[in-house]
Parts: sequence; structure tokens; C-alpha cells
Amino acid sequence: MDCMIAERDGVAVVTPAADLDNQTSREFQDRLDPLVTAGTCQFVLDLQHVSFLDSAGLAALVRLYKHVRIGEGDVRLAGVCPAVQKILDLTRLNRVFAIYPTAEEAAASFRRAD
Amino acid sequence: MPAELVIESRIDQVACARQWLSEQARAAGVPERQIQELGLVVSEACANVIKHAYRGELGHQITLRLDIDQAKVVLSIRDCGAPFDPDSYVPPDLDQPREGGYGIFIMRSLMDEVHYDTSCNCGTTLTLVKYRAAPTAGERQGEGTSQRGAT
Repeated sequence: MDCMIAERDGVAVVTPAADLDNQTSREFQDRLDPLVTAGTCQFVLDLQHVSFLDSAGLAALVRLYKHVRIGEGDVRLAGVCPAVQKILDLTRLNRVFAIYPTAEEAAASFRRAD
Repeated sequence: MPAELVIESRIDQVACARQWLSEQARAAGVPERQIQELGLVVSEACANVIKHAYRGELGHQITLRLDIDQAKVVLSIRDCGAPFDPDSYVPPDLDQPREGGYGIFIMRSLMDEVHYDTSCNCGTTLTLVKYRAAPTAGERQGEGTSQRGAT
């Protein structure tokens, strides 16, 4: 799947270009794994183009979260539409992922913490 | 008249099922927020059939049947794979984020009724029922006025 990745000041801002579902989530993971292996542990997932997220998409998010937590990193979300927000609320993953209106604000939250 | 769709047991077919259901529900005037929920549920159900009932094997069929009336949407999904035992289901611990196990939880949370039938000795028929919600003011404005069944 198409996925834009921009790294700045140790924060990777990842913008998937399409929905995260059973068909695309594996490829999405494959795009992120090299970053995790290289030591990146601060991620912003900009979901502005994601209007559909199923359990496979949730699994990809949680997998990334678990990996970066090993290095005391974090995954923060931005651009979440109401349908995606509903699934995050339903599964209580809204307590795991901090959610920001924009990717810029999510990236800035890492810098403030530093 | 119920609508029917047969898809193959391939993960790329799940999006086709979702699109088919959305188009049918939209044509029947189902509110958009319920169409989104139905789309998610049909995706979870079909993915489960492919992964678990057919264990990822290609070349099998999944039959979807959709019946929409003024009061409710009834979706049945029939497979001929390994039967599902609903008693084996353990809901996820929502205090512990996990990489799997949300599919059935999402289906049960979003639908009003969920039934499994394994009595035919050939796979499972999953029946999902969603009672139609009254449209919101915004939806009424967008779609015009029509009489709908209440939940």
C-alpha cells in the first residue's frame, strides 16, 4: 500500500494513503518494520486518509505499539475520522493511543516531552 | 426480496462483500452510520471464515444473503468450512491491548443479534441482525423524509 513516511528529530510521521484492513494491514506492517528495526521508537500515524479500520488494522497498530514500548517509545495518532474513532473507543484502544487533531500537533507532543 | 452474493475464500474478496453490502443498504435508505457498522461487521465475519473456517485455503465459497425491511437489516453468511463453536469464544480483555481477537467482539458489540447455526453438518451460518435506527436530523435533511422503523 502507498504510505508516506517522514522522519524528523527522531519522530517518524507515517501517513497511509488508504484504509487499514485485512488486505492492506500486512503491507503496512512491512513498511514500518524496517524503521522499528533501525531503532525508531517515536511514531505518529496520520490517519487522515483512513476511513475504514478493521480488526486487522487495529492489530497492526497494537503490534507497532508493543514493539516501540520495548524501547520506551510511543505511537500517537492524528487525523482520526469519526468511524475510526468509534472503533478505537469500542476496543478501548483510545486509552492506549493518544489522539491529536493533526500530525504536527502529535509530533510536537514528542518534542515537548523531550 | 433478499439479495445474495457469493464470494471466494480470498482476502481481497472481503472488500467486494463490504462494497456490495454498502450499496444494497444505501439503496434501501439505511442511515450512513449504520452502513459503516454493517461494512465493518461483514468484513470481520468474512475474514474469520477465510482464516478459521477455511484455514486460509483458496477455492471455497462464502454465501452472503441480505434482507432489509423497514425494521431491520438481516445479514447471513454461510460457509462450508470447519464449524464455529460459539462456546469457545473468549472476549478480549480490553485493559490489555492485543494483536488479535477483536473481530467477534466488534461484531457482537455493533449488532443487535448474533446467531450461529451449525446444524446442517456443513460449516456455519452466521446471522447478524441490526435494527434500523431512526435517521438523525442531518440524515433526514440529506435524504429527504421517509418512514422508518424505530429501534
